[in-house]
Amino acid sequence: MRTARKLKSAAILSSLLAAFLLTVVLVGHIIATVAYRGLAVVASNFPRVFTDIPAVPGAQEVGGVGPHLLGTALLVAIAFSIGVPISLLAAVFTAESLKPWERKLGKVTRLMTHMLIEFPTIVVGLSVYGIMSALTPYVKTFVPGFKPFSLLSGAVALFLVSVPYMYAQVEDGLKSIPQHVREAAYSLGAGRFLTSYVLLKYLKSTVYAALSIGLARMISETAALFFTAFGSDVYPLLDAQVLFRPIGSLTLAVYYFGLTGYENWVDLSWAASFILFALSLALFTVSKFLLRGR
Amino acid sequence: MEPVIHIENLWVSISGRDILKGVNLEVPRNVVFAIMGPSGSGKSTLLRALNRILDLYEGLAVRGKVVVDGIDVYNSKTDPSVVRRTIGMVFQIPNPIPNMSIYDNVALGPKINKLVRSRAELDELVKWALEKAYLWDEVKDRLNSPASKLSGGQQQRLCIARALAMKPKVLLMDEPTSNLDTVATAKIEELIVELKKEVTVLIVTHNPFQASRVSDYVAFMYDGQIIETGPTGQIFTRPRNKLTEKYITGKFG
Ligand SMILES: Nc1ncnc2c1ncn2[C@@H]1O[C@H](COP(=O)(O)OP(=O)(O)OP(=O)(O)O)[C@@H](O)[C@H]1O
Ligand SMILES: [Mg+2]
Repeated sequence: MRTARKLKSAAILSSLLAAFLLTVVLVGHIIATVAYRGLAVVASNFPRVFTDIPAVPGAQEVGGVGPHLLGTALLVAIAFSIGVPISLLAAVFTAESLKPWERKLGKVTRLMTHMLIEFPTIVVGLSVYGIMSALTPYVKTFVPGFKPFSLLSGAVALFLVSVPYMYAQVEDGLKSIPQHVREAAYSLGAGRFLTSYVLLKYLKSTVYAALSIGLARMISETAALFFTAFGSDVYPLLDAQVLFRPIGSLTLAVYYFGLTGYENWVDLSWAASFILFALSLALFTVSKFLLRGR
Repeated sequence: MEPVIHIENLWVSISGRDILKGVNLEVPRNVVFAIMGPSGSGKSTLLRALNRILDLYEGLAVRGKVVVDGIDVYNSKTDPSVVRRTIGMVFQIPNPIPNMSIYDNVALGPKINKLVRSRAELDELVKWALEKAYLWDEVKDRLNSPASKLSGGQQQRLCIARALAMKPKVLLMDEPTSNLDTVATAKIEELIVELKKEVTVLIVTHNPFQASRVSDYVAFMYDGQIIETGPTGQIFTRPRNKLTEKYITGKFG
């Protein structure tokens, strides 16, 4: 009996240790590679790597990923600024629904979004492309420049990739609030939205975590952008039509430049990887900072 | 004088199950009114019906008439928020919003209901409520620390202060001391008696001694109905109903 227990705890301990070592080695390797290959490129082309357009393939210099950085910023800014209020409102609506029809609608919403979270993001992108293509002939009469490969489509795709996740996390958080805390808010005469405001403050750490992971998902999303943002290596004209033209992103830059055989473009791919990595590290640090002492 | 609470043939069912089965009750102003009864008899449901917290429950059906301070609580034109701000509630588990400060917990009701016009007025009101709840001296130096840092008894008095800060006409208390030790309980009982100058207190208690110590009137509830009600002295000395007698003498199952 005793030896069996000892064996069991030894087995648990060693598998824990193995998992730990594996994680450290893998994560360490990823960080080291990205830093080693990417940082070198970024450092030797600083600061032009952030602003220049890519050099021609096979050239001595690498150029930069300026358009891709701007593209990521625009895509994420649009998708996130629309996605945050919508995911919070939807979470409040379904978690704090009172009327029977609201509860039913809430259940359907929850089921659909949970399905959407599991969807391969490339399928999400393809669906957005399909919808945008189908809409194009109609929308074109009002908006002549409308195209399925566009900043707008990319932002919609990022929205669909990330909002269900943010919504589900916040909704789960609201649901997990003890009933007596909720009743406290209601008993003070707060309506549903004021109550939710109080509850969301109570849930601050969950909400921050959900939103920062949601943001990270948007920044790092690649597959959903293939058929939507499409990619571009030049700066977009920032005019009224900017929403309807293809746009680049850092992730697309990593992907496309990394696949080419040109040394300077592969370097550019590493540079984009490093910038992405630095962005997520910054995001991680900021969210840890916001959650300090919790 | 007009009763502050008037309940007439109130039926409540949740998911098809009858929980209150024709409750009738009149509560005069500025008294402490205790509701006793065995577990599951519907005491908490009755309190939650009064301020429409029951609205949060799925599958709810309510019939009958409830009037609190002249408000027809279940009239379809009545805004539940208006009902809830007229009626304060203190729960069985002390439930301050944990990561909110002591000050903000008390200020929450007045802020939500826009009862004050300036920060100075709010400070005044918060101080008044905390003093009424016998908590001011213990917390005046740490109004900005989180409510969760207080002891259980202090948290419950904070919840009382939070309810009082809305200047309600009625204060509902659902077994407010069942999670507290004797010292904290004694403090809150003393407070309850004091409070009837400000509000009408409707308190649910499992403890007949508590009811006899704090209340002016008692109602005895059994299986979703109020089967006996009267002045506390009378109920405890000459109960008319056999079940009431069994309950107050502690011979109940
Ligand atoms: N949300 C709910 N859904 C279904 N049934 C409920 C719900 N809340 C309470 N009940 C039922 O209603 C009945 C009365 O409950 P209530 O909490 O009002 O009793 P109580 O008198 O307060 O009991 P206790 O003294 O144990 O607190 C119980 O049988 C309980 O199971
Ligand atoms: Mg109860």
